[in-house]
Amino acid sequence: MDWKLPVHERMLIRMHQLMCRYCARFRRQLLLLRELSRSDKLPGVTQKSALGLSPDARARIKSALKAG
Amino acid sequence: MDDASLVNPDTWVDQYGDILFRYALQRVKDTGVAEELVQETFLAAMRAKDRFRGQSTEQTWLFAILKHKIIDYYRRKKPDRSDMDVEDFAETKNPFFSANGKWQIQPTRWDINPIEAYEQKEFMDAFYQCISQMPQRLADAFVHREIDGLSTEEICKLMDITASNCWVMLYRARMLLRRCIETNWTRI
Repeated sequence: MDWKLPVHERMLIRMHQLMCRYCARFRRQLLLLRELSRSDKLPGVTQKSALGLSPDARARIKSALKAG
Repeated sequence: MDDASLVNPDTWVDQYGDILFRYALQRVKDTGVAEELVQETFLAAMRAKDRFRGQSTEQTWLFAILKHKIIDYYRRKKPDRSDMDVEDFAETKNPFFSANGKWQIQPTRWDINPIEAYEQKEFMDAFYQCISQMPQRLADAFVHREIDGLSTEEICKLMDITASNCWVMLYRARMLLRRCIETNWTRI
């Protein structure tokens, strides 16, 4: 997940995960947590919706950005 | 293309304000707090815009800043654990594996994919609660790697740690986070 392992170590890990369901499960869960951490394509958030900043909040934030 | 042209703060509020607000609202469940977090995100982004190198989209970058702000918010709400020492979570004190290499507490099945996880408020609440309750240094390492997408070399420079420190911290952070979510996530 963080650096490229030598081929033989990658193979050993993959073989272990084929035999150890808990380690295989652990790997899938870490990949899920990575996906959740990094993605910004989010259902209910990035699709068009009526829910958003109020006009007052929008004006306030724009004003704060101009000031600062 | 110079870095200044990669970001355009004049368009941020209209282009990203609503989606950042919706994400923040899902997490904090309070309109006023969500608006404040969005404002803090944009202000932080303004201060950091010269450091944006276009390695991600503007939207991804703004979302990463917002996620930092949300974690800080959760931390302020429940500050009990975040000042604990990293060494309190060393393997010798909190072993994840037995002496013969077996899991002490075996990971349970989660049966959830990323889309379902986003849609399940309880899962995402547990996700942010658990990050905010980790020791600060472990949470920082995890957030830099997983939310900011920094390489381990970049994290080492930023946190002034060695590569092996970084890998140990990431390992402990992931083990703690996974176990915490499993404990605190209430499936419906």
